[in-house]
Amino acid sequence: MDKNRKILVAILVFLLMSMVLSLVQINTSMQRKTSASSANISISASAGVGVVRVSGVISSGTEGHFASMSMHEAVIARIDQLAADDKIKAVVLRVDSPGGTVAATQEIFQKLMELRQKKPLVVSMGDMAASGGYYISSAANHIVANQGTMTGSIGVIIAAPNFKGLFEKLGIKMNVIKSGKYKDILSSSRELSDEEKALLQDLIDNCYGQFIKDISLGRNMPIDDFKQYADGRVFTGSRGVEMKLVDSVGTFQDAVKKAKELAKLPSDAPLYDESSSALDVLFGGMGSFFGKNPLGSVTENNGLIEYRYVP
Amino acid sequence: MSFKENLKSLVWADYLSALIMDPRLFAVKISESKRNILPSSLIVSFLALFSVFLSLSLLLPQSEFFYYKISYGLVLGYIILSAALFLFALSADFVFQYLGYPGRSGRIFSALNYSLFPFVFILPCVIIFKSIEFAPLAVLALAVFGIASLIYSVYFLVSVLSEMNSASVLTALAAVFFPLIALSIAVVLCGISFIGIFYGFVVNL
Repeated sequence: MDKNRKILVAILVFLLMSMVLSLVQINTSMQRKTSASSANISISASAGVGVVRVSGVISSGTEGHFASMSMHEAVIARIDQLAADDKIKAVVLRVDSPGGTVAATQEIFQKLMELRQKKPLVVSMGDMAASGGYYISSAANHIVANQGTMTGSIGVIIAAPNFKGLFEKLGIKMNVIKSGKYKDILSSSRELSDEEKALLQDLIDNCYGQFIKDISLGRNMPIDDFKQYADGRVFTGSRGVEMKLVDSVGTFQDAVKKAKELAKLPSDAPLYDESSSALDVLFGGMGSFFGKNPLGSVTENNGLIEYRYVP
Repeated sequence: MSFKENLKSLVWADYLSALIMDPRLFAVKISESKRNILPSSLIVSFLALFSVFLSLSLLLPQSEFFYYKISYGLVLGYIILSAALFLFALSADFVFQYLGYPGRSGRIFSALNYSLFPFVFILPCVIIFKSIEFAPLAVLALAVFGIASLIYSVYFLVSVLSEMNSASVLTALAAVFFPLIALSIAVVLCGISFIGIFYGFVVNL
């Protein structure tokens, strides 16, 4: 193939890609409108159970070029939508998350607590509802977990890599000018001092205190009843029932059934689930190819305080 | 050569290359072709129409009508476009033959289809401006790129027709603009007749 032909084929591929992209963009835009209008339709439809899904790491940051709002904003928007809809008599929160950042988790928890005042809230735990995933779950009236669901991991973590040895080997030195001695706390170019460790431990303990206080509030049980298990350990759904951190073992359908029961709805009451966008379907799977940090969990946290299960 | 073989041989890429680089070389290539109407030219006009449809859909308020627009609407649009281009080719052929040149309506039709190729580039341009969330710029890009594409299409067509018929640029220009003017007058007259008929129908109700 000569050069001109190659260039032309490349141009045509680019043009075809732009056509596909615009089709996806238009379709996504219309799906948003359709889901919004279907939400309005549901007002005139019969009373039923709404579903909120929390999947993946809870974060207030947007991921990817196509995301218009962060994960926690999308969850809160969905909770608000269900709270305002008169025909939604109960809500099932499907959790499949290892947790995430502190503020995002707490905002979702607060929203769920507000929702619980208006409508019964049942949590269905998927593969994992650990750490922040459990935090938000604790806001429910009833928690249903699968037997093998990984849950618990009640605790707070902060981690940052220490590249001091590597920097020394490579002869890299950091120039740091700071306004206070703690300004570059958790710097990856040096060891952590004892004072800094104590300061961070205090921070972690403070966040941990908020975590167990909210669990106590959500689960309506004294802290002492579960504090022995709140040491970061993970456990299965069935062990969770024994620890009284989970109410029953069951599937998503069982959670829906429980929600209908709490809201005194008939068994054939409709389920109003959220639909995922075309972009999610098209690009969602690509995250594992392009989004993952090759250094894995060692650097993934990178100095963020998180309610997150990090294996 | 079958359509599949034609596609694999990338001869169509040479046409597109000549279309962008040298319209007169395109005329030579099209004259050497055994076929009067090149199947690849039909794809080019379809892609151009598809690109314009998508660009407008991106900029205009989006509704579920899009699905009708991109299916039935696109097919209808393509039929109308092909019919208009065919009429255009026949008229240009008539002008050339009237002035004593060979004409060849089939090849003029192919050249007309190929001349729409620049319109394909409107879509990437609109996507770029649309992605930076500045709609007026996207509309401006659509207008500017649309006008630029039209000017290039006319330039390309005049060059190709002039080369194909060994005619002067002025003759080729006349062959391009005569059908344009004739078709425009026909459309205006049809419009006036339609309004007249509609008015008469409403008055007599």
